[in-house]
Amino acid sequence: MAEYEKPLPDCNSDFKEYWEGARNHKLLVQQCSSCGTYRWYPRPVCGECGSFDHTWSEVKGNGKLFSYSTVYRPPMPEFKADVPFTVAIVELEGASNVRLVGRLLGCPPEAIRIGMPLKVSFEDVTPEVSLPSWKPA
Amino acid sequence: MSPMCSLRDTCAIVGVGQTRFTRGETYRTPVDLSLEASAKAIADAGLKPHDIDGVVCSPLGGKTDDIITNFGLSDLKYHAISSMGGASNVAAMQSAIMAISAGLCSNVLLFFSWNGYSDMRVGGGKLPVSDSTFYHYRLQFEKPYGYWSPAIVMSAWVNRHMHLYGTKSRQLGEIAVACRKHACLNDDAVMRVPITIEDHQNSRAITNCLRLLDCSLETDGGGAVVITSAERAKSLKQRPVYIMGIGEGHPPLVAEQVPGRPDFLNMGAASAGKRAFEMAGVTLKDLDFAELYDGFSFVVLFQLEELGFCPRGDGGPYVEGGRIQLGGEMPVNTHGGLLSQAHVWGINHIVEGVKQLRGQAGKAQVKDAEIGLVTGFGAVGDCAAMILRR
Repeated sequence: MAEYEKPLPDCNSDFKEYWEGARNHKLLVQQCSSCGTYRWYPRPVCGECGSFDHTWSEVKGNGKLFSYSTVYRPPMPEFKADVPFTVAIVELEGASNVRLVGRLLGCPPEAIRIGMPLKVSFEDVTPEVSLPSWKPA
Repeated sequence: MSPMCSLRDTCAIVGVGQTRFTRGETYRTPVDLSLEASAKAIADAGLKPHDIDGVVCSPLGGKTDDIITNFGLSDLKYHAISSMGGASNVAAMQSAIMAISAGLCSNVLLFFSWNGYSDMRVGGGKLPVSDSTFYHYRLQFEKPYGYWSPAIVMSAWVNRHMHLYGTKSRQLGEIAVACRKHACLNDDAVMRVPITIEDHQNSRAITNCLRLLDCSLETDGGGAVVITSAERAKSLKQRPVYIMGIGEGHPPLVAEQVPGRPDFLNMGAASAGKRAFEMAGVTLKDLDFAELYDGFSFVVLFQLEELGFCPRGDGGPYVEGGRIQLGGEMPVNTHGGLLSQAHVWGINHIVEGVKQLRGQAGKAQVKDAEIGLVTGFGAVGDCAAMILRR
């Protein structure tokens, strides 16, 4: 298997659980233990109730396309081979304040529609890292 | 909540200076560029370096210590670093006028510089490394997917705006064309070949909604201004340009966290504008020009909407028909802006605002300019706005 050259997340960081979940093809989102509000990006404090307690909750992985960027000029050389590629911002079903960034897979640029239903799809880019991305549902 | 005292008209900009704006012809350190621009601004004010007793700046271009050391300041009284991306310079002005009005210091220097061509090419993925928490989250949750350069990130805004309101690429082109038209009148501008909408449409596609001519320049250079009290300004070399009003606006989720913002198109411009106009005691109708931060063409369009020049969604039609060109109803970026003069984080917008109000804008002079707006726009969406008058 060719060496994966694109940027990888640091899976040993504060978000170890998230990346472990992803490797097991589970989509996890941070949820406040006190008031149940989901939040993204993960952070220490709940903006709603001020609690410092949270869990990493598994979510179904259904969403809709909130917006996107279809890229023609790679942001760095490592992405050259992927061009054109689309980055999706996905509004999560069941937690509309949560918007996740990921690749949009299996959808030609001309078929992209804001609002289209999507399903999470994990890309196993290395033996250690799986990246949550999205496919048309 | 009303303030204990108003800052309106308490201070004036009395000196401006800029370096040449270049693209890699020679390499000069940011500190070198900042010192040149600062020395020019101080001289423009009819002051000496030793007269400076307060310094404000952004995170780039050098530190307060560089000014203290190089200008031989023996007892600096005040400093503030404003960290709001491209809004830093306008936001720093607020610190300056507060400090002067409070009697903490008398003559404040605001400086900025960077090597946006020779060092930090934003378009090539070399973003200024941030110490913000959210920069590190971006490394985790955005960079692996290629959602990285400003053009790619902001395209999500543009695509959504186009989806909701039918905004067209050609309308973004109107902004690029206007800025270039103005730059052609400006000897300091980097880009001085006129462009048409067709040139804009034929320029290289960066994303599905942004073209090369929608993007600001990558340039090396610096600028500086000197601010003092309205009282002291009267006795200095140049016609004072008073700060009538100023304000900052920060959306609920921080500037670098674009995707999760509840009102996706909230970029702090509406709040910043409201505060600035309230302090100034004037309205949009009183403006003779607007120097709007233009990291991208559509950042101008969004600001026109959020600041209230037109309703949200109507920015496309607003910029058509020459309305934002010199001679039109609301001249925008009379110097060419970041799109065509130079990208120096909007310090050049402040300088241009001052020149217009002094009557020193040359071929780009707005006739009888009395009141103008200058904005700064940070990273991906926080804003500072300032209203100036002569």
